[in-house]
Amino acid sequence: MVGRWVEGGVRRYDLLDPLPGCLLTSGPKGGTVSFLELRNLAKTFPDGTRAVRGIDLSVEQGEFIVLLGPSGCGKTTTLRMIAGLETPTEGTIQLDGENVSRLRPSERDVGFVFQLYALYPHLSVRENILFPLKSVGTEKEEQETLLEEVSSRLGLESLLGKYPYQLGGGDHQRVALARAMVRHPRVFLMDEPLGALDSHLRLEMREFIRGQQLALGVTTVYVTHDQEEAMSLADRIVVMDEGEIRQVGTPSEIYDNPSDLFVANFVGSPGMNLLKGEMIRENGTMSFRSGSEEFVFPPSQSIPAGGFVLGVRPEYVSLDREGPIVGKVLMNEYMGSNCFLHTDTALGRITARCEVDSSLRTGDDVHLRLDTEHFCFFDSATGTRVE
Amino acid sequence: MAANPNFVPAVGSSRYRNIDFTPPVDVIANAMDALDAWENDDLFDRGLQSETDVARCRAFAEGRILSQEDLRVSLAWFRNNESTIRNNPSWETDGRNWQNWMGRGGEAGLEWLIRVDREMTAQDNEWKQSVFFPPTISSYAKLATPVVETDENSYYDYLLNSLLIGLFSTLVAVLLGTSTAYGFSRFKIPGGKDWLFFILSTRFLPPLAVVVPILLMYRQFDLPDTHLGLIILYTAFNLSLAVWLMKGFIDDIPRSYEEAALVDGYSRIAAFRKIILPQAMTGMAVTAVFCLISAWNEYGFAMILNGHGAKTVPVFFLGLQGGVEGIPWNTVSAGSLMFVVPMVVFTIIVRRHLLRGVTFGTVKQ
Repeated sequence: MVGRWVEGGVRRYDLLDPLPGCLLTSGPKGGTVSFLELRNLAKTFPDGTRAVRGIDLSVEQGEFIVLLGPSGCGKTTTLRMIAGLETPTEGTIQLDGENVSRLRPSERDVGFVFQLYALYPHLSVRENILFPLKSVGTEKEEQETLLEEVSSRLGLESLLGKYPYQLGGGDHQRVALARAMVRHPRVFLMDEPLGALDSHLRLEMREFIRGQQLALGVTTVYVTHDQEEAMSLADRIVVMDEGEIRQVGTPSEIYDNPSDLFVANFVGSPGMNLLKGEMIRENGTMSFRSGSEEFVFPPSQSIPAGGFVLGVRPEYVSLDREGPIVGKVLMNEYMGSNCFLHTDTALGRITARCEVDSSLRTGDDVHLRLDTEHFCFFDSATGTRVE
Repeated sequence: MAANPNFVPAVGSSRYRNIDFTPPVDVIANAMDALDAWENDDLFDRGLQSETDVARCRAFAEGRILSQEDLRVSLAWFRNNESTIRNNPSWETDGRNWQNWMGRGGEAGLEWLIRVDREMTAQDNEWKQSVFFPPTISSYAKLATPVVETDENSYYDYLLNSLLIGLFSTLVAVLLGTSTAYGFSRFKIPGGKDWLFFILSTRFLPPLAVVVPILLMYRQFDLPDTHLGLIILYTAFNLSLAVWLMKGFIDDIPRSYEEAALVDGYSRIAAFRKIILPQAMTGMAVTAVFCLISAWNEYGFAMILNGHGAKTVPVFFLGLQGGVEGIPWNTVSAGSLMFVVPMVVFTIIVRRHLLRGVTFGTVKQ
């Protein structure tokens, strides 16, 4: 059990080095193997549920990866397999060049932050934080040094003597984070750690977690169903659905170039407007016909003729008196800095993001214009993106 | 055998003041007569039918008074059978039990019975009316001496037996129950639900229904009359309760606690010991109280499986009945109070755990 640990029980990072080996390098071994590699990872539960259906993922050292998906998509199961809390039915997990798929959780040297904190109720904050160190028999003095380091880093000095039930809101999560951080694990695994907090604290803790991760440069896998959280935290987002990875990419890639209909609809709030229609190529022109509307494009694009789904984000739909699409306002959703106008058109429901205009009421007619520059097309049969 | 000239009222009746319990000479003579007959195997001739009758008769003849209850039974019997007795002066015709030799005292005996009864009743009424009474600890001291001469153990030895057997069986039942419940709670066990039902089914039968097979098995292993025997038995009976109670408590402990411990570098056993056990303390305290109560008060098996080697207090109380002086209520009361004390102390010790919340409010459910 102790064999996995570097001498002295914990791995020390040079805290002055801003991002050790982060992002730019291809991993500690310098080879093609990434720091954390999931290969064909699958989990079928005894009751027959196929929670994860063979996923491949490479995570570089120091990266902040967010697994994003609706509940039941397999993201938490994936995370638990990395931690060793679930045994994969198929596939391997490689950590730092070593196959850890069959190792016990205690042998993997990972830090896990649970959604409901899981602070040991009968131990004080100090004992909670020291708990992982005691398992490996770290020297008393070393323990104190590490405790001091982590508690000053997370601002927990005044809480050390308290018990979990005496803590409030974000403090629980900071202690849980401290417990995961204290022994400098190879990977941080976080399972919706902010899910139980109210929105104000969630924003605060989001920044806090990202700040800590950047400062320590520890590879982090973070699970959430909140796409806004994913966008703001991730170096790369992994969108999952029904046990499969739908898309891996930076937040902007995911947002601007969703790889299929699921990602297009799931990411963004509200999601992409999706209009069914047909691509027509005639006389050297290319147009997309949906209902009675027709959008004409420069013929340079390589999309073949046929049935497609047109996707356009609400911010590329504008109110325009001359606009070709007539819609009836279903709801004017006020968001503060802007508003979302949900309309019913001949093409289907279209949501536009526009300047606040409280004069628009339910039932009013508006004219909309879509920005053809930002159209995405999806194969209407398979749902995959067509370029 | 001659009548005892130095008649002294018994200590057991000493709460009656200034009553002359001395029976008329005729009555004592009759009693001596009956004893002689007993010793000459002339049992039916003198109407003595059992050892108890003889003991009563002997106590009487030796100057130890009978209890008030006995006196009253005698009186009632005598009145019911007065004419028969008077018309049939021979022992053979009507001697059915020990009372009749008292009646044999004739008018003098009857008068004696009535007088003593009246005086005792008068004092009883006086006693009942008084709220204040002089307290005494003499009964506690009396508990320290054996009740029967042949017994070398006193009440306190039996209390120690009860304590040993109760605490050990509780300890074992709670520990086994907790670890079994943990297994059922956290792991997928083939046929797990059936096993749990089987464990519960051991409670379907009234325990005493299996007393014969258990006695036979115990004889094979020399277990009757031993502490170990009762400890095993009580543990077995309490185990099903312990498993079911503890399963409920452990189900309520979120798995994420152990999972956190596993990730923090602990083995499952260590996680159980360091995380689950402290969390399950409340449940264990509750279970322990239930187990201890049922072991503490168990009477049937303790009586049947025991001579006096591992006799427990409930069995001791049984032995107090049918004594020469009737039921010694003062001794019973003192013994009962002493019997309750350990339970109260135990409950106070675990109270801290009973009162603590189950989840302590740290995991938001």
